[in-house]
Order: sequence, then C-alpha cells, then structure tokens
Amino acid sequence: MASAANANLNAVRETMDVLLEISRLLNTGLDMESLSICVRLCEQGINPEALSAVIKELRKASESLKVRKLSPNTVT
Amino acid sequence: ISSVTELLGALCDSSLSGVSWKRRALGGVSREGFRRALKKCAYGALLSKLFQDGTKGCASGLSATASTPPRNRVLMICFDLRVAGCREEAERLEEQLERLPEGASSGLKEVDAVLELLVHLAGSAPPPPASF
Repeated sequence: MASAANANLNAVRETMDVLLEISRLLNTGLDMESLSICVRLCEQGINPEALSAVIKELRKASESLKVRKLSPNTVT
Repeated sequence: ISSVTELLGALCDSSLSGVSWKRRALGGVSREGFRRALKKCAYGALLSKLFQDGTKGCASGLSATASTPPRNRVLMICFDLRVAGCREEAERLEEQLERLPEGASSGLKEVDAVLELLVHLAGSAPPPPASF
C-alpha cells in the first residue's frame, strides 16, 4: 500500500519536472509554484483555455500595480 | 489547498510575489484590497471564458486547432521553432514531450489538460534577457 503511494508520488514528481521543463521551453512564464497550482486546478476540471485567460488577466493586473509603483505621483 | 476557490486564491497570491507592500500601503493600496481585486479579475476571466465556450459550442463547430490534441500542438510548435532557426530548443522540446508519461502512468488524471494550458500560454512571458 505504502509502496504504491510512493510509486505514485515519484511518478507525479517526474511528470512535474518534465512539465516544468516544457513550460520553460515554451516561455509560459510559470514557475514551479504557479505550475503546481495550475496542475491542481486542471485536476479539478477547470478548462485549460479559461485558466490561461485567468493567468493572462492576473499578469496584466499585477503589471499595472508595478507600473503604478514606478510612478508614485499617479492618483488612484 | 484543494478547492477551486482556495487554488484561485493561491494563484492570485503567487502573482503578487515580488511586490513590496511597505510603500504601497501608504499609497492607499493595501495587499488585501489588491488581492480582492485580483480575485474578482480572475473569476471574471474564468467565467467569461466558460460562457463564451458554451455559446461557441452551440453556434458552430470547433476550429481545427482547437480539436488538435495538445501533444500534436506541441509538435507543431517544434516545427515552428525549427523554421525560425531554433533547432536546439525544438529538439529539447521534442525530447521532453517523449519523456512526458501518458495517462495513469503520469500520476496525474489530467496531464493532457495541463499540456493544453502550456500551449495556450506559450510565448506569453517576456523573453529571457540575452546573455553577453
């Protein structure tokens, strides 16, 4: 029982390593932390295209925050 | 973390990493306030995409690219990389794709969905800085 769980854990680890490398080669901008969150969201049945739209929107929003940080005179 | 709401919250948090909140709080933007705005933005994007997909399915068939399996779409990207002269990257990508286990042997239920996500996000990050 424990060895089956270990084997599955090893399989997940190896798959995650390959996915991270593919992600890096595709220049997706995902780090290991956000990739593992995305994997779990996909495992929960979230549509991958919709999830990619979410990630792009979050990037736009956090980018706008960083721009505001660079121009402190901007009134929000 | 296991529920979709918790995972989306974690995704918002990870997109805020690297932002300093010390001066930000003085400017009237609190971390909590911005986190709430990000969550609203995330749910907005998720739901609008899901509703769009619902109407698309009723009105017309899926496009050829949308129905192509994600592994084949990665191979199409490899072809594009070769055409663009990035042979090494294309080979490395093909190599990794061969290493990626299919189905239950991957330990994941939705490995192809994750691959599809990566295809949708391909090239969405700024290119890495050139080294001299």
